[in-house]
Amino acid sequence: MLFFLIGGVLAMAIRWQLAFPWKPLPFLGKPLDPQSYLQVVTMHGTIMLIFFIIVVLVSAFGNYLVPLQIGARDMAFPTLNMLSFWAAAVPSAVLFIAGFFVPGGPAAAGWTMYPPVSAGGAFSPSHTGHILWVLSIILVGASSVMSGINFVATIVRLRAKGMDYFMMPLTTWAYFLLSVIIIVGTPVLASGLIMLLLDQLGVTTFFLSSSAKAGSRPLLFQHVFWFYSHPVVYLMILPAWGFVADIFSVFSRKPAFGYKVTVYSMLAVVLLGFVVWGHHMFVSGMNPLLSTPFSILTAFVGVPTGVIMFNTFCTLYKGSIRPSAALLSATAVLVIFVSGGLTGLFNAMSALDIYVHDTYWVVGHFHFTVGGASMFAVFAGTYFWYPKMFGKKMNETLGKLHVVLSFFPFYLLFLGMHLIGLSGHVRRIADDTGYQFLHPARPAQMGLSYLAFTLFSVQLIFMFNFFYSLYKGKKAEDNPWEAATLEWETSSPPPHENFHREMVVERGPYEYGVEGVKDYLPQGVYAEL
Amino acid sequence: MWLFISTEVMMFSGLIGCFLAFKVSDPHFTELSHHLNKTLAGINTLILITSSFTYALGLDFIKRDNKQKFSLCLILTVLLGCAFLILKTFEYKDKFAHHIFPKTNVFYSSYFTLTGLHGLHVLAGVVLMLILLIYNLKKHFSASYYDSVEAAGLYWHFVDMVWVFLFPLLYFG
Repeated sequence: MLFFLIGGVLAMAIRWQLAFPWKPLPFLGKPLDPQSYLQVVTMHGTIMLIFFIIVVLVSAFGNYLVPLQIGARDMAFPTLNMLSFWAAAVPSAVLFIAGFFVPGGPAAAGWTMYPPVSAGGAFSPSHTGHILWVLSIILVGASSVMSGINFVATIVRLRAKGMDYFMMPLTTWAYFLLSVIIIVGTPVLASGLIMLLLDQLGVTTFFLSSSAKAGSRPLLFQHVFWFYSHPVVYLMILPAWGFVADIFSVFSRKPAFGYKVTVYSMLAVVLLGFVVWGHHMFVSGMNPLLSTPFSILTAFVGVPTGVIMFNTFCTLYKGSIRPSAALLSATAVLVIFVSGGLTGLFNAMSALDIYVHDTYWVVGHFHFTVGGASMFAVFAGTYFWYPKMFGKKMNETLGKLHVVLSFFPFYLLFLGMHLIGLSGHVRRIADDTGYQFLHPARPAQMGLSYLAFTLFSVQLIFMFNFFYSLYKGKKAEDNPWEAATLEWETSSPPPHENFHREMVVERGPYEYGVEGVKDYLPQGVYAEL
Repeated sequence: MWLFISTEVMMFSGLIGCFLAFKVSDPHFTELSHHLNKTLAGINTLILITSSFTYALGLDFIKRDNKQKFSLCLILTVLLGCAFLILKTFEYKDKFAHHIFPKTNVFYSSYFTLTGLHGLHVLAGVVLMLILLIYNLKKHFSASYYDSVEAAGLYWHFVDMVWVFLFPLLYFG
């Protein structure tokens, strides 16, 4: 079980690299026609969100870490787990990549796939690509649901003896709560995708039809789509928050500040996240009266989010900091997410959102919150848990270099997008030279591209470090970071049953700086100090 | 199993929600629902409810270690499930004969999608029960082990419940 999860992390890391397209500028040697540009944009979005974040950050890291952190031998339903990978995730990936090889090419309707473009053969040459996309996402959704069920069953049933719910590390809490989103939200997307698929095949007329009498309503897809897709962004960010909380705790030798409050805030984010989907649709043509409640509720979500960020920051405050690549990366997550979250509050106000909708302001916003936070969270998680997973240590200097060299281009790149977006630069257009009012943005666009190229190249340091350390890295001991959570009380890498003995727990997960003890108290009872 | 059922609930809720959204904005729905065959669907409803009863009876038997009667009840449930599907097929054929297809309009898109998806779930349930039957014939279940029987029972009752919702929603618009 552990092995193919690790393999999955590697494969996705590689695929992620391949999927990182640079902005196709019209004068750049290989001209992309507008249709291809849209396809690149669509596939970039879908690969990053679904195949990188959901598969790697949520499923791969989660299936690996949750049993370890609660002292279990494996997930509650190992067969279901295998099914979710081999029978759902893999075919999903196959179908998805097949889109590149069919006539008409892959999907080109944006990762949001709104009908009628995504539904009608008459509206797009990539019709087959669209069908494959929908089939692929239905499968990966099924895989996700299986994982969600598995997480809940595992956390409810397989915690080590003595481990109450409020003694679980925040990473595990994050996976527990995101499973709620998976279970409630994903099937609704499935229903929307089924309707879209049937429309695409010409069987039904939910969103698209040739006759006005049929009663089709394309806007309905947007409602169904965003009912899932908004909570899903909270699903995506929860593991990042969990990682950051745990990592901050270890490297500042302090318990997580406000642990219980953080847990309740995470829960609040999950619940509130389900009632704000309309903020993606302020300009869609939905009833403007709905904009008000969606606006207000969206602002409310900012409150628990802010609390979590504050608590996380306070964990570092006055801590005994041990600098490491994992800590740097986790700090990057915090900085980037808070920056992005602040612009989120602006977007919540429908009056402003109407202006910035579908501009680069929004692209900048979500790359900060979703892209940056998740990306640096994956780095942080990798730097932190790599010794546990592979039994070798990654090179710390290279790691720190990678994080610092990634952070600055990343931040400037997407900050720049906010600025050109604010001046009106619309998104998803292949060539902006035709627009008189956008001429001042041309030098900015070029600068942004160079930043992006730099950012992409810096990832090679990470890739090199990752693979080189597998073979030539220093051997890692059980607990190289002197962390207190349960996963560090087994060997690196863990044996097949995860632990060498049955784990019993007597304390919380963050007993650092305890009086009368050398430095910290591990969570399991029989560990020697 | 409860978790899985909640995901199914959410999926059907999504579809039913859309149906209601369409219905609210479309004045033709009520009139169109009269074209559906209430009698046939009514019989189908009774069939499914009875099948839930026969399954529960079977579960009771296996709890008392009566493997033969459990098999019998499973067979009855399977037969009832198949009867449902056969009647459904007649209903669909009748529609197609009158040139009514899912793409005729949104009401029929919803009708065929909802009942079709439900029918697939009934079929899955029938297959599940045949698997249980095979296991039981191999003496796999007993009074001390019937967890999967209970779980499958939950699934079958869920499928029944969905139909109980769909029936009035679609046929008595």
